[in-house]
Amino acid sequence: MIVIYWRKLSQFLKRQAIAVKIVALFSLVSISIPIHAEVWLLTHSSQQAELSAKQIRAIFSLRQKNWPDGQIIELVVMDDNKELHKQFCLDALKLFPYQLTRIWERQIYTGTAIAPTIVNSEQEMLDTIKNNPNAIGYTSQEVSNEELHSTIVD
Amino acid sequence: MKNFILLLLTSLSVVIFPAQAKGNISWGGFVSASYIDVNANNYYGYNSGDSGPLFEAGLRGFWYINPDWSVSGLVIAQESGDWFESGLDVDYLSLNYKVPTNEDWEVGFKFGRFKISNGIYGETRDVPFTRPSIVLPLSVYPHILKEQSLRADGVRLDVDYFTLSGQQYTFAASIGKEAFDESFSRRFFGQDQGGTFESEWNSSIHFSARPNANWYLGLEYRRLKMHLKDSIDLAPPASPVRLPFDFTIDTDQYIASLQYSQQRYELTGEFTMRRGGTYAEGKNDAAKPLAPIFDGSIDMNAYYLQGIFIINQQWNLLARYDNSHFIDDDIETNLRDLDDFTIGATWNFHRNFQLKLEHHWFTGTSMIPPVRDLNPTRANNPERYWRLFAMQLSYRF
Repeated sequence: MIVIYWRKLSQFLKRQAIAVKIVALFSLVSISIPIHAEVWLLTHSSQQAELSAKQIRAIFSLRQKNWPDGQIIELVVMDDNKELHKQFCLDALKLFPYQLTRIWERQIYTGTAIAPTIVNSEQEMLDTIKNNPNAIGYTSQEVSNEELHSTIVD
Repeated sequence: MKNFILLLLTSLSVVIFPAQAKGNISWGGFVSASYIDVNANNYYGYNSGDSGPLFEAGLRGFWYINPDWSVSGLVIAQESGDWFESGLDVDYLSLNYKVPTNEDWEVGFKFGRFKISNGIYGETRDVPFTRPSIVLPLSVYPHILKEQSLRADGVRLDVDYFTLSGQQYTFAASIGKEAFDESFSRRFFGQDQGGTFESEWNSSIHFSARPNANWYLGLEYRRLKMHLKDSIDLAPPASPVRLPFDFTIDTDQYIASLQYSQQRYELTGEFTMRRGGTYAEGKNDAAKPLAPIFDGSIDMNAYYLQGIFIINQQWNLLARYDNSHFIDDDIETNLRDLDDFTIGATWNFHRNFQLKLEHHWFTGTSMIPPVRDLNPTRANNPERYWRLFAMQLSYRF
């Protein structure tokens, strides 16, 4: 009888150990550790309006479609596997990159938004915005000159 | 062949019209090819049997007229076995009006053909990149009832409220008629059945809340009523006299959705209840006494639980348990329930390309067509335990 109880106890403890490992693994993958680096919002120098956090979220989730002067906003973003894009999503939009992609896809494929322009590099981002006064994007460093205007994302 | 040409033309638009967003016009689309391999039952069609190819292609356009008005549309071409009509469909085509408000509120109307809010994945279920798997959970997104919950012709109202801290609350209401083709009659009553179901003016109400990036809650109610007029006819040789019937499906559907997201994983659960029945009306004296044989309850509870593990931006893994259960215990066991355990993987190997693989283990056949074959000599879907493997390559532009 004691042997049977011992077996049951040891099986119970083994199950507990497995459960603890599963919980530990679950906790490990649950922890999001954002890597802190600076991200700057980038616009053409002709669009220097101060944007609130809410406006930035509205623009990048394709809801706000035009500038205060009525011009159509052209959203320029990088691939969602680029570190800068991840950083921007987490810091400025408080969203995971795959969630932002889903918001876009949903808006685009239910006919409520214009798709963003996707660029491959920061240089391409700078060039695209330089050539389009209505574009908005982001960059990893301050860029302010005659053609471009940047503000740090809080 | 005609359908193939239509598909090819849609696909060629990839080359002719690469995705663009120039000024106030934006267009793009997708092309997708899959192969579905099933070990038993008529999953793919009544002639083609269990397995077959699935082709999907879509071309979308958005015309931003001014801050208040826009026009949007999506044309979809599909080839997916003979339970479904193949060819081109207007998925949506609407004139959209955005009511001028402040930045906290967004109020808009859609006039024309619009998408119906239907759970988390219903609105874009035909777009391969927006669904978590090739085959959606049949409990909440059943193939048989696809047209009921996809789109409608009428008016839709959307009200969104956004807070400073990023919370979002959405309310949507619509009234419209769903467009059915003859394939729905065949999926319901078997391959011999003709005629087209006609929708009443059905309504839909949707509420969702996103208090932060981690949580999403959705609640939905839909009223679904449709008729098949003078089309059920147990004519000779099944009967020595003509026995025509009108047939009605009358259902209320409720869907509750809950999703929890983290950087590395996402957990989703959706629960649905369908309450209602089917009714027939005999159209002559001989048919009237037989009408009750078509009457029945279609009360159902169904749910699924799904986990997606995001390894990195390229790879994610899927595990899902799906369960559908008719409450009426007169229904034979195999048609009464359906369990599906699914595992799958998605590989986004390029910005524009995606490869999906998945395997399903099914028990029961309740959510695969036909619902009720009027030909009693035919044995549909006899296997209770069956498997499905699917592979899909998609391209978007």
